[in-house]
Amino acid sequence: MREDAATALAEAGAPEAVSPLEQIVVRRDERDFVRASAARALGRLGAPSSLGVLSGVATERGAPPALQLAVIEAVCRYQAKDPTAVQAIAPLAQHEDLLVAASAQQHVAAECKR
Amino acid sequence: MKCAAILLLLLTGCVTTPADMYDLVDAPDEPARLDASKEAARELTRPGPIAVRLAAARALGRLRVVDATVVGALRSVLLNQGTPELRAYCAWALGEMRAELSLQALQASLHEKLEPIVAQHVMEALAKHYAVMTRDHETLVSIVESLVYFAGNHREALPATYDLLSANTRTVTVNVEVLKRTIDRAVDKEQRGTNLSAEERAATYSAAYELLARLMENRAEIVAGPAAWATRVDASVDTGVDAIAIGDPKSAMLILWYLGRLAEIPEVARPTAKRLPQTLLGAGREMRRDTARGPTDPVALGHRLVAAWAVARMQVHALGPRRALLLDVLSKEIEPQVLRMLGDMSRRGDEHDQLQKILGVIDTPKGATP
Repeated sequence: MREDAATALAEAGAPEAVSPLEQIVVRRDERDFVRASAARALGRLGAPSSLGVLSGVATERGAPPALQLAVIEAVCRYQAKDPTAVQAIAPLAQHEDLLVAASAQQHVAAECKR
Repeated sequence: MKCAAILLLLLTGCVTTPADMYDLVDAPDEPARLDASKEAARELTRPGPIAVRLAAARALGRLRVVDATVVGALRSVLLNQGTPELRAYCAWALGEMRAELSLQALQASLHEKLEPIVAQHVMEALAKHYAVMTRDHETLVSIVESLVYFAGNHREALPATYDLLSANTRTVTVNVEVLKRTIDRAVDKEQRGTNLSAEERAATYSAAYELLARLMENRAEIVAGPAAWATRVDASVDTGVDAIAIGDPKSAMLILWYLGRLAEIPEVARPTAKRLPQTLLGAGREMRRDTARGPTDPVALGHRLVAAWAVARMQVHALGPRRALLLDVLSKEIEPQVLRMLGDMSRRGDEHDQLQKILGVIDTPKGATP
């Protein structure tokens, strides 16, 4: 499954996977759990270019909660390298989904130090 | 022979593997997704290898087809069958559905004994249904009622998501409604001659706690805008005092304690003062019955002590408690500890009122002139 493939690519630390993963994460017609898995993989790979992509997905209207939770997790992985990274998930603190909003609030308040 | 049979089955493709379940997720259209879901539901409920059943639950969560058969299968495994991991997966799959049917299944699980991992997933799944449960007041109250039951009976620490759900669902109005329903159930049982179960008592305690603790949290707001809070405060006090009467000693003690603490707020003290002295008198009657078992019954004594303390605290803001103390309570109370507490509470400078005279008699050592 592509969901597991994305995880495997991140575990292998394959930089050549960054571009295809970025394409998957922004595709609205892709299944949300595959997009979520790609977002987590991008967070683990930590390529500088991906932070902008993830920030864009964070503010995507109507994005599924599973994807938003994965984006929060992924963006927070950038915080050590870029202290402003957490700003990308700040809008999610007002998300209509209870879990997404709570997760974003906690991570923003703790500046991802959890 | 057995191995040969298994080999034959493998070769003919009759044995379901976890990979078969993962493949179901790729069903291309709605009819195919429904068929795939029903197949996964069959595998989930079949007593086969656990890996296949886990994969079936995962596939159902990915497919998110809200169908009575599918939800029924997940509900059945969540409530009755399987390892904690499998039940947790079922809760997760139901959570992904975010529909009324799945919410009902999750709600039912709150009345069962849940292992910590299952409880955690059930809470997260319920949180995913927040939009569904808050669509109408009746559903919300019903869910909170089940949450209260769960909180009262869950032995382990409550999952963090429970607090998140509580903070977003438990308004004072909802808490009043939940406690009222608990009381109605108790009254109904009493009329039918049965007692509340231990689980129902725990739920009552939990409902009372949630209501009064929420009122306590809002002290500053009540003081700042008493008019806006009047209806909610009156309903909370009325329901709280009603709950004392259902006869659960722990709940009664908790309610008295909170009403006593809240008595520092005039807006709470006044409605409480109208109702609580009657309850204290009720406690006095209860005390006389307890006398047959022994006048120092710890529950009855503790109950009266806390009630006396609460009533005494209300005197500052209302006349009712003082009159009740002087005319009704003191003439019936026989326990020196309760009377002394009332006396200590009622002292105002050098004033020696009727209460002090009565206490003077009690406090006077034997043989001395009062």
